[in-house]
Amino acid sequence: MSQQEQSPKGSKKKLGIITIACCNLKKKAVRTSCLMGLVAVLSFTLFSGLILTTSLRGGMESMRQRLGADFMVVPDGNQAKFEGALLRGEPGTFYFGRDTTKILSDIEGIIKTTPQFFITSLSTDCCSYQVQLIGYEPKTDFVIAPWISGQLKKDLEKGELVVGSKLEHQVGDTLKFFGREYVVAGRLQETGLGFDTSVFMNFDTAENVLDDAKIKGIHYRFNKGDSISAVMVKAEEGYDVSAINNAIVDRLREAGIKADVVASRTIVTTASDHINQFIFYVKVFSVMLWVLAVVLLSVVFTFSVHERKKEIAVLRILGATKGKLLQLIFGEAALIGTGGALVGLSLAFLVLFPFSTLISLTLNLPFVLPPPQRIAFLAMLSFLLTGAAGPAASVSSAYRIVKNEIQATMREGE
Amino acid sequence: MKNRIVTGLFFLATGLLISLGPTYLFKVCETMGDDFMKCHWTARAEIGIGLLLAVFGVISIAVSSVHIRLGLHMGAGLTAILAASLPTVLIGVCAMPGMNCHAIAAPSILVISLLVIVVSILNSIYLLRQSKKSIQDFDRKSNEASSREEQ
Repeated sequence: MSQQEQSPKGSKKKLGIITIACCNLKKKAVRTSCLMGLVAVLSFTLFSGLILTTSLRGGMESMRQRLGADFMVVPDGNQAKFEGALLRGEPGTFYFGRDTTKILSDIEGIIKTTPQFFITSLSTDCCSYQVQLIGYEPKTDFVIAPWISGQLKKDLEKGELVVGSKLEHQVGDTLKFFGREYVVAGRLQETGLGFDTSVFMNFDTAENVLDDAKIKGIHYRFNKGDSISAVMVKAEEGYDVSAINNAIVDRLREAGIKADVVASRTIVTTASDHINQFIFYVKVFSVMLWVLAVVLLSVVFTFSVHERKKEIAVLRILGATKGKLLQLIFGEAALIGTGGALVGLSLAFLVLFPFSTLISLTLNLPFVLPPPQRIAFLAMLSFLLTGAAGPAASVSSAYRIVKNEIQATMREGE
Repeated sequence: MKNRIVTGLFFLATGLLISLGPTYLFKVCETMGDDFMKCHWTARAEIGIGLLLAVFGVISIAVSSVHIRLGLHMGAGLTAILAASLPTVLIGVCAMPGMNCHAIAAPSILVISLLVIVVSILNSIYLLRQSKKSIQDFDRKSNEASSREEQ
């Protein structure tokens, strides 16, 4: 099978199995393109499915770790707005009395409480879009500070900001809110939550922002120095969710404060249910597509090998061993598998990564892309699984053809 | 001929997409009164760059010389690099991930530009081989002619 082919230029090129397989595939260009297209669809779906499920699981894990608080207490009727701000960074403003923090910290089983203050920036201010500004108390905070990446060595000072990971501003940059500029002192790590698009500041800076807003004619409905938007609550280890929930509701009712209590476990469980449902559909779809592709490829290879019976018999007469013929058929299938898998993976890279923000916005679920080494591993896995689909589909047809006797094959149809 | 038309039409189509897409298809953010955002200027600049790419495509269809097409396709690749760098490096888009320009327009321009870069590289390699082949054919023919004259 290995011969010397004389090229038009006069140089000699080795005619090996791969060269013959390439020539065969080139000659049947339409069939080869269709088969490669099928493998490409399979590879695209498999890799996309793997990346989506891994990103959603990552988002879920990040959400579980980074919610920080066990309970979040917000003014009555604002639970949906709060969840929008927390999960998706949708700007929202709502206020209740600052004394809520003190009341909650006295409840048995609660070890930490910290207030937060929400302001919505003007859409024309810093960046031509509305941003959720969150005021927090660095001294009592246990929600924001753990996720500020390295740079911030001290407590946040007046006039300084921390920005979410998806905002492009770097440490040292300035951001303008209601006509005044503030310095970015730190950036938050990626959380997959609304924190990624929010801006954080201490209460003094938040008051500055509110004063400037008032000058610009924007009045938020709150009492200066006495209002907050939410209280983040940390309970003792192994706490009873319903017991603490009831205790919070009772104590606030006694104090005459109307509030909603959001348990982070409930948020996590709800999001987790949605994600698991989505992952289930992706898995079922991927498996069905893989089976369909292998069946289709098997059918096409069977027909193709069947119509090439005589060609293969001639090769046997010319001295090709059964092993070489098997190599030829598997070589063609492997080339189709490899080519298709590469095309599919390239397309998936072109769609998934540039449009990851759009995908995450459309899914409306916590979404954190895996690190590069994990992406490389998933790409390799998809490549191997889809690349193997071609040779796997050609096994039966290849063995059937080499099993036949040459004489019987040549005399077929006479 | 086939290569000339296919690649020419590809550059024409992608050029028009880059040029008109940010304004009409995958729109950048709308302006608020007299306040223009970065993405507005990116979209404006892409109009010119996209049209340049489209013109490369038209000339590529009209001209049969392999060498001129080679130059045009290299130029198209470099233009695509410029098109990709406008929303990413040179001008940018709005910083907020949820904004249209950030989530849709910039990635679309990036993907189209990448496709143009890949096609222009592959086709330049193909045209380079073609031009070498045509030079060799010319040499062979002139050698044959001179040997015939000698006889």
